[in-house]
Amino acid sequence: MKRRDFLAGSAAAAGLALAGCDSAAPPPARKRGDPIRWRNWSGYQSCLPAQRIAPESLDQLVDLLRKAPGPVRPVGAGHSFTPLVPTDGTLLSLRNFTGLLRHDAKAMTATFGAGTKLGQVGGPLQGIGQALPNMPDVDEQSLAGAIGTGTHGTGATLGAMHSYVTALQLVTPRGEVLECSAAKHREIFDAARVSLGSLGVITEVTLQNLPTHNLKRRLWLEPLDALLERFDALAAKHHSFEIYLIPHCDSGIAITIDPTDEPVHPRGVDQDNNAVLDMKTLRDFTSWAPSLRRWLMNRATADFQPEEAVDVWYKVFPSSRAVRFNEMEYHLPREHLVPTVRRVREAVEKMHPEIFFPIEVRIVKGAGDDALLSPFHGHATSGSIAVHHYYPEDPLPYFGTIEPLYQNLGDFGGRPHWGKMHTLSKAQLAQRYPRFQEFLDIRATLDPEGRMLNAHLKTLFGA
Amino acid sequence: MTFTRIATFLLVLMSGAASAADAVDAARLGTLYVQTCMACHTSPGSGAPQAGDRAAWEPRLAQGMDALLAHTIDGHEGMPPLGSCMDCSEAEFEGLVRFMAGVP
Repeated sequence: MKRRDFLAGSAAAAGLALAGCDSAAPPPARKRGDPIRWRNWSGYQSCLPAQRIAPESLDQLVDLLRKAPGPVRPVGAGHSFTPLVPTDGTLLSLRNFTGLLRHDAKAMTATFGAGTKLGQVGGPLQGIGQALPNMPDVDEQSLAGAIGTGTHGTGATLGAMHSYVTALQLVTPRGEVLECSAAKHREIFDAARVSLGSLGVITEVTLQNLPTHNLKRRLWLEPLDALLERFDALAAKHHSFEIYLIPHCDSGIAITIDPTDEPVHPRGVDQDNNAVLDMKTLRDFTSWAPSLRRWLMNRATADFQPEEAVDVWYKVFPSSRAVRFNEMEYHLPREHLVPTVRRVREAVEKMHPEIFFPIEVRIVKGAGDDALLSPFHGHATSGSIAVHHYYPEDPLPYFGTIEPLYQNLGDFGGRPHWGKMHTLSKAQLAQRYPRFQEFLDIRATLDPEGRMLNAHLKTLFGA
Repeated sequence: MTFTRIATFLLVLMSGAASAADAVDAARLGTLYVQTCMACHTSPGSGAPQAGDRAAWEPRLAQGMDALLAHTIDGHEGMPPLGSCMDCSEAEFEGLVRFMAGVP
């Protein structure tokens, strides 16, 4: 039974109609001629900038950075849930800084415009015989945005995206164009890789890649208790491994990805979006009987058949995420991951019947990651837990329950994903990042007037 | 970029544009389409109505262009706010919608 079938079957068993169930979003109030507000992907963050611009050349960007009204905030896909972008000054799009610019076949590196969306990296890289070592499961972000927020995929031996950056071009608010790498402007390079767009505008990124290859993806359902018992063994065995907790269900989803020489067998049209909406329908119509919801979910998942697919790397890693959400993700010391997952599950089961989005559990290599603000810095491997909340509904009660579970772990507690919702203060972040002050000093040198700082970034990095 | 040239050519054909001014607008729309719309609107798994699929666009067009513009700019269901064009004007959004829906 496919995922779509099992969930549709569950809803049908409850006597429900699935069609047209996604009607929670309020009708837009905008009228023709109204000012155009910027909103992030989920719609949770917004602003009305004095100007929205897309410089067409490096010279034009340099000029704009010197003269444009601040705060100047670069924007990629708007896929951050924290208020990294909102400004009443200048919103700066990098849509003209895109594409594969050059590559080095011997070193296996490739340089892209920093505004290139992750989903537009795979084809050009395949054309030159290269592959990203890893990718997130969402590929809508821009390279600059993904790298700048510490975005990652999953795998015990796979680092976050910024850990594969070997060089970058940074244009500072004063109009300096800096070529940064381990050999040149090393301190700025270490600060800039994860810098939330606060040092200036990153225009080019050079990535350390692998020879292109095919991957095999396997997805199956398993009783969650058994899956958590096997988590460490599966994480050690597979190139890429993650699990999803299905709220109010006794089974979890496991996904492994490994290199393969097997014949290509494409994934086909992604069913995840339909499955999520079906889970919402089930929630909506069984709110009066939570035990019925669990019974239906368990019944529907009982005979789920594993899915397998083999394809070129960039067609295997990402999944379609057309059902919008807000998200909170924390990175934890690895040894705390599975116990904390159990606590998150317990909290959802007891306190949050409204939750239907699966909860994502991943692992990220931190060894060798020397970016100053990398959430993985200093940990051989980190564990991460991401909770999602349907975009028209208020995420704060749910996130407010879950976030405390990530504190007081290890020396200080978990580190939040820079692009995902959290409530940590500058003082708390400074405790959790041993080189935080070093980053602040470099930032203040490059942007002494604070032109890159909006209200949110002032609270994190301001004097 | 090849995609940009093809999109621009189609836009010029659709609009019946003969003047240089119209051609410039079409060229800009072609670039915007390739940079900001094409990834989802030529990918059936995205859930977005596909460019040129009149049957998919008809019920949306029936809501009126003002509603489509509001959905494009503020976001609606799976359509993220502003699509991927953070600097487009209202007229450019309308041009892009008309191009993808295949209406003049």
